Amino acid sequence: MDFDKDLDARGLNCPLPILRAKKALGEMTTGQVLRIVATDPGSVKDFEAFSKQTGNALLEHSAAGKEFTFFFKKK
Amino acid sequence: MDSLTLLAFARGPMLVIAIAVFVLGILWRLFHLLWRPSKPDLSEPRSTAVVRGALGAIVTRMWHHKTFRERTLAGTLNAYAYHIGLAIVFFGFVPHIAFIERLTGLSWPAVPGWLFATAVAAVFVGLVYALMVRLTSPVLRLLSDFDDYASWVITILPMITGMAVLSLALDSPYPAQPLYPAPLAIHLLSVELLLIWLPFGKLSHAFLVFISRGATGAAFARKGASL
Amino acid sequence: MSAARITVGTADLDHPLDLTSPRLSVEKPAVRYDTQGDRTDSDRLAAAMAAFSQDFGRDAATWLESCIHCGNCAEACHFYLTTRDPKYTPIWKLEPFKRAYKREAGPFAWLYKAMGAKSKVSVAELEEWQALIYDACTLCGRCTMVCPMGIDIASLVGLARHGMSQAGLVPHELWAVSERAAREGSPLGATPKVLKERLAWLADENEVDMHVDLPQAEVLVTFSSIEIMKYPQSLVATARVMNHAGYTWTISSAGYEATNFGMLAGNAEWQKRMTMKMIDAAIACQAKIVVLPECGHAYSAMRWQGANMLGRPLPFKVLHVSEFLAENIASGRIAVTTVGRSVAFHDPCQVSRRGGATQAPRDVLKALGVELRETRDSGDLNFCCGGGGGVIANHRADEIRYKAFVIKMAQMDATGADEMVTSCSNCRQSFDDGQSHFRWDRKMGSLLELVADHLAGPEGIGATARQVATAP
Ligand code: SF4
Ligand code: SF4
Repeated sequence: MDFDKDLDARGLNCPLPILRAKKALGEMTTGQVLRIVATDPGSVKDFEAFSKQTGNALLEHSAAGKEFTFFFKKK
Repeated sequence: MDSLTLLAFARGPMLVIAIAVFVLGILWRLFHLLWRPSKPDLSEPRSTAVVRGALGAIVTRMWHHKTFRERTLAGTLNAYAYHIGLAIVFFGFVPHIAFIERLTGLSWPAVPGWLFATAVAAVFVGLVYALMVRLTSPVLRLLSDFDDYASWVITILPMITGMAVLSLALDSPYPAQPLYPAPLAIHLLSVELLLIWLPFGKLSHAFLVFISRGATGAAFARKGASL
Repeated sequence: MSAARITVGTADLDHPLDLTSPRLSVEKPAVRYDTQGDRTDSDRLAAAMAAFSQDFGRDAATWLESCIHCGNCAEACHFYLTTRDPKYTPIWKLEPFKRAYKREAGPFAWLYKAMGAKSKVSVAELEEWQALIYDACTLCGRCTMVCPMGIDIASLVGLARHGMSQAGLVPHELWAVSERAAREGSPLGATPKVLKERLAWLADENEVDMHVDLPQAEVLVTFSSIEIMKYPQSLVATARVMNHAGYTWTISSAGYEATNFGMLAGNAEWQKRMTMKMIDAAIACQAKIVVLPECGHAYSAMRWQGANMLGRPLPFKVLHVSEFLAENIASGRIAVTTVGRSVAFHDPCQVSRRGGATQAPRDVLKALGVELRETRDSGDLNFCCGGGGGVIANHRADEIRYKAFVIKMAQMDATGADEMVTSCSNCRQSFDDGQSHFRWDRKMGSLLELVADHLAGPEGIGATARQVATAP
C-alpha cells in the first residue's frame, strides 16, 4: 500500500505509539496515508480504539513476526 | 399576625437583627483570621513589593490563565453572569435604591428596564446552570456539601420572592403604600436570611476572596514567583 | 535491576554506584505497614490534631475557609487529568484537614466544643487519606494557579503532612528514606565516607580539581544524593564550572546533602536537622554563597525555609545552581560556547513556579545559543514530572505516577526538540524511570552538565585558586 508518511514506533510502549501517531496525523492533510510500524502487542487494540475515537480510518493492519504495521487515512 | 404587622417586623426589628448579624459575623471572621498566629518569614525576599503582589493577585485572578481556558471558561463566564446580574438587580432596581435611600440617605440612578430584565434572566439561568453542573459533575458532587446547596437556595430565594412582588405590582410598580404587604414582607425576610447566612456559609467568599488571593499574592511576590 | 553496577576501587564495594536502575529508592519492605511507632489510635489522633491546629496559621486558616467548591483545581492536577477520578481533586485531598480545622480551630470551633461535638476525623480515615496527600500530590502547586480564590493548595498539603508525620502515618518508604537521611546524613546511602571516595575517584578520573573541607571558601557547594549516587557527572560538572569561574569553593563533608526528605515526609525535626547541617557548614567556612544542586525541593528547603529553621536571616546568599550559572554568565565570569541544537526545558516546580527562578535557566540556555522550544505549558504553568514531593520514593504511587507522566511525554514530544534538559535530578530520575517504563526514545539531560560541556576555553581559565583537595 502506498503511504505519504512513515512512523517508526518500534520499541515504544503504550501510549507512546498513539501519541506519535496523533502528532504525525496532525501534520498531514486530509486523505493522506500514514504508515506506522510498532512492536507493542497492545498497539493493535489501541489503534483500533484510536481510529474509532478520532475518525481517522484504519485502512489495514498486519502482523509480521513481532512487528505490527498499520495504515491510517487522515480524516 | 396580619400582613402589615409582618411587613413592619421585616422592615423594623428583623432588618436590624439581620444587618447586625451580617456585620458582626463578618467582623468575627476577619478578626478570627487576623488573630491566628503568623510566624514572620525570615528568608531573604526576592522582592519586597508584597502589597502590590497581594493587590495584583486580587485583580489577575479575576480571569484564568489561557492554558486552563478550555476547561474553566464556561464556569467562569457563568459565574460572572450571575454575579454581575445579582449586583445589577440589587443595586440598580428603583425600589431597592429607594429602600437603601430610606436607610442610609444615599441614592444613585437606576438601571434601564432592559438591563434589569437581562440581569434577572442572567441570575436565574446562571444559578440553575450552576446547580445543574454541581449535580452532574463527579468532581463537584464529591466536593459539595450542605453548605453549597443551602447557599444556592438562600441566594435564589430573594430572586423568587422578589419576582412574586414584581409580578403582583406590575399595574402599579412603585406605589407609595405597598399594595401587597405580605409578598413584600416575605421578600424582605428572604433577603434578611441571606444577610444572616452570608458570613457563615460559603457565601463568605464575598469577602474572603480578597484575603485569600491577597495572602497568596503576597507570598508569591515575596518569592518573585508569578501567579 | 543492577546489571551494570559500576564499582570504584575496593573501598567502594559497599556502596556501588547505581547508574542503571531508572530510579533510586528504598526497596519495598516485605511487610507493608504505613504507620510508624507503636501507639494507640487515640494517641495518634490526638497527636495529629494537635499538629494540625498548630499549623493552622493565618494564611493556612484563610485558605481552609475560602474554598467555594468550584472544582477548577481538578483541571490543573496531572493526577486528576490522567485518571478522571474525582478523589484526585486537589482540595478534596485536604477534606479531613478542613474538617479538623473547622472543629479544632475554625471561627466556630467554640460552638462545636460547647456542643460537645467530637472530632469526626478518625485514624482509619487519616490512613485512607494518606494515599491522597502523599501518593497523589507532588506539591507541584499547579492547582494554585487555577483556583479562583487563590488558595495555595500545595502549601496546605505540605502542612497537612506535618500532622500525619506527628501521628506516625507516613507511607513507609518515604518514612524510611527520611529516617535514613536524618540518621546517616543522606537518604540514599551517600554518607560522608561514600562522598569522599566518590569525589576522589571523580577528580582522578576526570582530571578536575575538587575541594573538600577547605577551612575557608567563598562558595559552599552542595549536592543531591541522587547526583552522588546516580548522576556523578553532575558533581564533575559543578567542579568544572566553579573552577572555570574562579571561585574559592568547597564541598563540606559536614553539610553536603541538600535533599530534604524530612520536609517531604512532614517531619519538621528531621527537616531542621538536614538544613542545619548545611547552614553550619556554610558558617564554618564563612561562605558568602551557598549553591544548591539541581534539585527542586532542596531549593524550597534552603532558599525559602532555611532562615526560618535557623531562626534568623541566613548570613550568606542562597542560589540554585541555575541562578548561579545565569548570574555568572551575565557578569562574564562564566563564558560558554554555542550548543547549536534545539532544547526543550522541563521546569522543576519548586524552582520555577514555587521558587520564582523561572527565568534563570532560560537566560542560561539563551547564552548557550540553543533554540529553546517551550512545551505547551511551560514556565510557571509547567506540568510536574510526577515524581516530586516524595512521590517517586513511594512505590505504591507508581501506577498513577506513570499515568501522569504521559502528559509530560506528549508535551515534550510535541516540541520536536533535539534534546531535553532540566535542572532537577529528581525530575531527571522521574524521566529516566518513565523512559524505561514506556520505552520512550528520549532522555532527560541536565542544564548544569550542558553548561559544563560548553565552557569556553580550557577549564579553569580565570581560576584564581587551584588547590588540591584537602581532606583533614
Ligand atoms: S500540588 Fe500538584 S499534585 Fe498536588 S494537588 Fe496540586 S496540582 Fe495536584
Ligand atoms: S479551585 Fe479553589 S475554590 Fe475551587 S474547589 Fe479548588 S480549592 Fe476550592
